[in-house]
Amino acid sequence: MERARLKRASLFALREPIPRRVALAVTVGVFATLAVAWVVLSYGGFVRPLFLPTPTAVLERAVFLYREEILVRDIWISNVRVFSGFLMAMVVAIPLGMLAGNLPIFAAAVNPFMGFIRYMPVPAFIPLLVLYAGIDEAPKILLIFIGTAVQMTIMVGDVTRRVQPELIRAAMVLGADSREIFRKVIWRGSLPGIVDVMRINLGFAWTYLVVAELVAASEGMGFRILRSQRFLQTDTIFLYILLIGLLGILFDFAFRQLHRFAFPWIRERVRG
Amino acid sequence: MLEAVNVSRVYGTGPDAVTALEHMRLTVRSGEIVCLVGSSGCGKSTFLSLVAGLETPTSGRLLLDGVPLVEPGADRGMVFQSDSLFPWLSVRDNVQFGLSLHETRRTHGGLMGRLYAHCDELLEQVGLWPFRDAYPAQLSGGMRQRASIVRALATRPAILLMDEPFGALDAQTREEMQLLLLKLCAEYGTTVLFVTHDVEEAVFLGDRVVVMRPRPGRAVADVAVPIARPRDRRTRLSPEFQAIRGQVLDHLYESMSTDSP
Ligand SMILES: Nc1ncnc2c1ncn2[C@@H]1O[C@H](COP(=O)(O)OP(=O)(O)OP(=O)(O)O)[C@@H](O)[C@H]1O
Ligand SMILES: [Mg+2]
Repeated sequence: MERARLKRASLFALREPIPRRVALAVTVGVFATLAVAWVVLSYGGFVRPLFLPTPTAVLERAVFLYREEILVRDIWISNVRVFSGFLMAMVVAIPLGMLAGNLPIFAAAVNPFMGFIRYMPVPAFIPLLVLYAGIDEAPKILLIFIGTAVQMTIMVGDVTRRVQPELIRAAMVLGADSREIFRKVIWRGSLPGIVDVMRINLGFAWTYLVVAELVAASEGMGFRILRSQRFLQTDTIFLYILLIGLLGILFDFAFRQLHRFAFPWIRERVRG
Repeated sequence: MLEAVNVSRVYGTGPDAVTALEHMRLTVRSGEIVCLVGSSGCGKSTFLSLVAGLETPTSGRLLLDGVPLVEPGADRGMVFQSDSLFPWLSVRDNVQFGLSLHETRRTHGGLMGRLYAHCDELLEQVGLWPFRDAYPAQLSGGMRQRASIVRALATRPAILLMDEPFGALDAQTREEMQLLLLKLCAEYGTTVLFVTHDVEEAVFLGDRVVVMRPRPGRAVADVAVPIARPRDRRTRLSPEFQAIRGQVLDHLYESMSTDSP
């Protein structure tokens, strides 16, 4: 009996793991509640279809746009834009963040500058980007790049700075030079953190999509949402927002799997 | 042989400057185990960092076999108090870390091969061979420290520097580790400079126990420990052991009461 009481209490114990089944049930419960609310409110006629389309309407939209060969095309082009900008940001932010996090001279060069641009509203760059980069893919990709690269650099810097000084001292005593310490200690030690930073920043990149597709786009998920607003096609808006959410869950899952399989040495810690 | 002549180390400048070490003198002969004891903040870790080449002395000279020490080198191995194994490498890769660095610079052929074999032999000797593919997080604290010692010995250093390596272990594991260290030293004739808070540990391990005094840090007493080796559990019970321990404690309390102005 004592045991049962403890068990019930432990579902709300700080930082105590809860059974997998319970966690899954809670997660599914949240989505199910939202789905039920949607069904009841829309089919029940409590909210006008203009504000809340029915699931049927959204599905029909999906089928229609798929048949018209719009849906897949939109998803594809938006993914290309987001990932191009995101990959460019990675290429810049990872080395820069590592240097800024560990070499004071780079910190002096990079950190104040990043602080300077960090608070600037990204959409404010649109007129300049159009002026410099035209109206093709370039300005859209650049916008996503600007939106993510700055935060990413700062976060990578933080993560790499957190590699324990003992490990660096140990490597030095074992004869490692600065380059080897960067490669074999700081890089290896902060890699899991860097993957986490990427996971978080991919989310940021997607949030800039609609802004990016404000720029003279004629296709893409963000563009379709904006245009649907003009034609009051709430069902299309719902469809695309839900699709972006689903993509998010998918990418998050992929990153978590990568983490699990690439860094077995972390997982063991929990057990040991 | 390690020689420290009037070694001083000052941190910071101006009114905030801290003199961690002043005119520290110490000689450790080849094959000797010398233990450093002293109250917290008397510069023990600072001294080891200087010898390891992780920091440079503000003044004074440090020589290993007559060669000035300016940067870290394979001739010195170090074991830290806190966990310093690379968590992402297996035990064996941790132990071979130092060797793998040299390999990328220049291949020594036969010598490298012998050093790698030496690593495996050491792992076998400390009972870690069955755990060679495990990650540090899968090991107990004592096993992790054993791996750290093996890693420090892997390049066959002329001197092994140890900064309170057993401080975080429980009493029983600690005793096991002391015996293991003595066994390894006896076998390989390793020179050791060992920092500890524990006077009993110092007397048990050392050929000499050097007592340091804080503010500014320096060596104030050098007590010889003429207890025969091999030493074992019963050594601690002998009147001789207790007498030396008492002597070291006297020096320690004296050093603390005569705080310099
Ligand atoms: N990087 C540093 N910057 C400024 N002061 C330092 C630094 N390292 C050590 N000190 C100071 O130097 C003195 C000696 O420190 P050290 O760590 O060598 O002492 P210790 O004998 O190892 O002490 P403990 O037994 O607590 O480990 C202390 O007063 C400490 O505050
Ligand atoms: Mg210390």
